[in-house]
Amino acid sequence: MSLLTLDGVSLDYIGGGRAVRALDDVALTLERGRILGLVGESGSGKSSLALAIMGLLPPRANLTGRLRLDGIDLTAAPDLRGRRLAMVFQDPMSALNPVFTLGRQLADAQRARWPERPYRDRLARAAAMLRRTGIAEPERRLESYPHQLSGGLRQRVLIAMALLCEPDLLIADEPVTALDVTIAAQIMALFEELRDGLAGSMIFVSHSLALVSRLCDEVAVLYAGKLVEIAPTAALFAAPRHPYTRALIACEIDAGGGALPTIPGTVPSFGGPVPSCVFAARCPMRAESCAQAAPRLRDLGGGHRAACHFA
Amino acid sequence: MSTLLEAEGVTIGFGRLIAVADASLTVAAGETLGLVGESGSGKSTLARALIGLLPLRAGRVLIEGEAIAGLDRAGRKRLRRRAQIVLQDAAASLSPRFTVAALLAEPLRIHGLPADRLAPLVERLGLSDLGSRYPHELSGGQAKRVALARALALAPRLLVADEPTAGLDVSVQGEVLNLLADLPDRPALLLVSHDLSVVRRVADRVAVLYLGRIVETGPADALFGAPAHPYSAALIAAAPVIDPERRRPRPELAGEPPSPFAPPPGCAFHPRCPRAADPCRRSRPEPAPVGPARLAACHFPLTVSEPP
Repeated sequence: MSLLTLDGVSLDYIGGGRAVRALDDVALTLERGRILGLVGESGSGKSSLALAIMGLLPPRANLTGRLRLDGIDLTAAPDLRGRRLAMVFQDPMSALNPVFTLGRQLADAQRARWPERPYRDRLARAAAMLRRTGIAEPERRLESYPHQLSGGLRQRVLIAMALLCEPDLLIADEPVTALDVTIAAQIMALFEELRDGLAGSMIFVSHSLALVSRLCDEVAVLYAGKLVEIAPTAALFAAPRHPYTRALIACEIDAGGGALPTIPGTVPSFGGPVPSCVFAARCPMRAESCAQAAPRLRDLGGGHRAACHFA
Repeated sequence: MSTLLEAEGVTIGFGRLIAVADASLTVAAGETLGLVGESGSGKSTLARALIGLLPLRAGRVLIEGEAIAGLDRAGRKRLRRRAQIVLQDAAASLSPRFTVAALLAEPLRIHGLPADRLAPLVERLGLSDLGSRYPHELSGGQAKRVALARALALAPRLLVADEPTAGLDVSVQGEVLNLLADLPDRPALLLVSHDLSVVRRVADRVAVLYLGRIVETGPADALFGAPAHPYSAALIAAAPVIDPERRRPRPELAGEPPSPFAPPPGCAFHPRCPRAADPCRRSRPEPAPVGPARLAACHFPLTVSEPP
């Protein structure tokens, strides 16, 4: 059985008397021990999907469909955060409580999972995990407050905090976007080091194809709330099948000369399901069939699926 | 080409903080200079000072041979016509109460120029249909283009673009970069960015900043092809590229930039530098030639092969 199974997942944000569809009929599975990259531009729904899995959606969100972790229904389950689910957020500056020491916060993060374990043991585990995430003198660091740490160090602390509860699924939402290039490279190297020791699986949410390409086993591409393509990483970059994925890869800035490709138009924002392909308005391969029927995600073999009439 | 901008020994401070120290550079007419560095390196501060938006603590800046310090009101107005800036948060730099048409007309009105000179620019930047919109109705890429059109409306000889692609989706980045690579009337361009791939695409020459000092300058192709300063090399290695086979080695630059309030003695990069030796801890290296039109401030620069 897959660790994570999503089937027919749709999400609407309700407000001002109307609904805005953020996710539309998303289906995917993730096996234990694998890293899935979730890519898309702003507004594609990637963060919404992460929050839906974590059970962190705001009250005005209407989530439908099946979301299962290890067979447990995530929409009905009691709070799994800190036990089987953990998340690393984009902004390490605001994710820690400024009035508690790191030791206190790292120890508390383990309480949901191991309520019986003594505080002292939890602190010792915290120190060991900080060392694993590349933090020198971890015992001394446990006494620090968040403001005494740089952004890169805080992100290491947050990764340590997430790993401390040995989650089945770790979601990292743009974990290096707020960091400088050299620090981002260090954090990506840390994820690469940790990948082999991961007990569970990971979803790495990013707008950067470059980051995803090195770290992830599989990549899912979201566009306007739709899953348009999902494939093993090597296959996706070697032979992308959806025109949107191809355009995204072409837009990566390279050293070459000549004009850079762009994708004309903008991501549509829509109130509900549309009868046509969501990418049709910007697609160079657009044909009549694209306006008439929304392409379904089709199996192309080798774990490669794409939602395009011409894939 | 004639020198358009000349900066000598520019030092900028805020209280105890020396944000930029002893920076010298030139930009020729029509040339694009990329200013790269990480946050806190002083690149935006330097760029602003170079067009007179921040006071200098030491040094001098000349635009078309004229010092920009100590100008009176009329002098500053003349300077604004010649040197313009597109700010990082372009959307926030547009008044929310103005339509795009009014925003575009404003600089011409202030400088008493005929409104009709705008038409080709508006056409070129694809803004013809947006005249009646308000800033909140624009996408990020559109807001950048409006801000760019406002700056270019005065036909400046120098344009500063501060992080022109920051916060834009990849599908729109290309649109902005294509514009910058082929600006109408070819002003000199000072391009500030932390994104090396952006600078590599657009710039003719590059200056790399670390902790408020320029550590390397040179032609973009030569510098990206064979960086001389170990920090430039580390920055280039750290830039992510699509690499599903993991062919590239994992970039290795340990540590974090030190506090600019207490820069390390000697070369400020020595605590993180893989080549650091005794002299680096004792004395600060001065910029020295390392190749044709190239300078690096390093006691032990990486080898730069000379063209035949």
